[in-house]
Amino acid sequence: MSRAVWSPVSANTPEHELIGRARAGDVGAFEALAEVHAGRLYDVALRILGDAVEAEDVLQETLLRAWRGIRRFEARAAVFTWLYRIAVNESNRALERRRARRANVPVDEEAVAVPTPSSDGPASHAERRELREALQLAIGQLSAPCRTALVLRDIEGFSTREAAEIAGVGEAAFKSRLHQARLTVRALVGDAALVASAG
Amino acid sequence: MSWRSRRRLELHAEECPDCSLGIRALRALLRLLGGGSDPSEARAPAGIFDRVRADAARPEAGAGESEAP
Repeated sequence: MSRAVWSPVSANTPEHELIGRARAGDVGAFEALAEVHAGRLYDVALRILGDAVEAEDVLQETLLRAWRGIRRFEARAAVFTWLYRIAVNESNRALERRRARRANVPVDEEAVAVPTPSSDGPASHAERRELREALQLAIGQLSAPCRTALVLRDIEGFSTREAAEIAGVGEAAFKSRLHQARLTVRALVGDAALVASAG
Repeated sequence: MSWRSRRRLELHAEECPDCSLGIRALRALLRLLGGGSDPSEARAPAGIFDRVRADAARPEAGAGESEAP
């Protein structure tokens, strides 16, 4: 393997050329290739983890793994899909590590239950914060496959085909996971609060 | 989330009573999590390539030398 190099990249350099140069060890080409997707990769990590510091750590790890694996990247797949899959896997790993750290702390059912929000009164800000925290907690309770399906499809807004490809499963299996995830979120958060908050 | 994605979600919520409340929960989450949810608005923090650069700076380092993602 040749030593890594860094050569200038123009804004008009086509993606296939960037891929080829990155595979040859050109860090500048790799950064140009990945940078255009970095915002969305960070976003999905943030959605899954709900923590900016952890999301940044996941993004750095995602890019490092992509850099180390670029030679094995199959050019017939989209760079975006490939990077996203790594980011989702890394996010889920980070969440599992967090769970393991807190394994001895029982889940507080009252923390998941959401108060029914009232109108925009003085208490609404606190209620909204509680709702946000409860929903983030609910997402964190999902299994990794269900969480991935939910975040990709319902939060990131990918089509079923795109999201299934990123998740690495067929569309039927993906839909099943998504359905299960939605039902779980509903069960965790509670119907009455949701009707009031989303109505 | 794009307008098209949002519309698709709303249509599904109308057709699927089982999912509708879960979808509402997500919409509430999107509204409350830091405002805008348009992916194009997402901004990665600075220094995201620090580990890549450190890895590349290692002697004899290069793309594809370590474990697969």
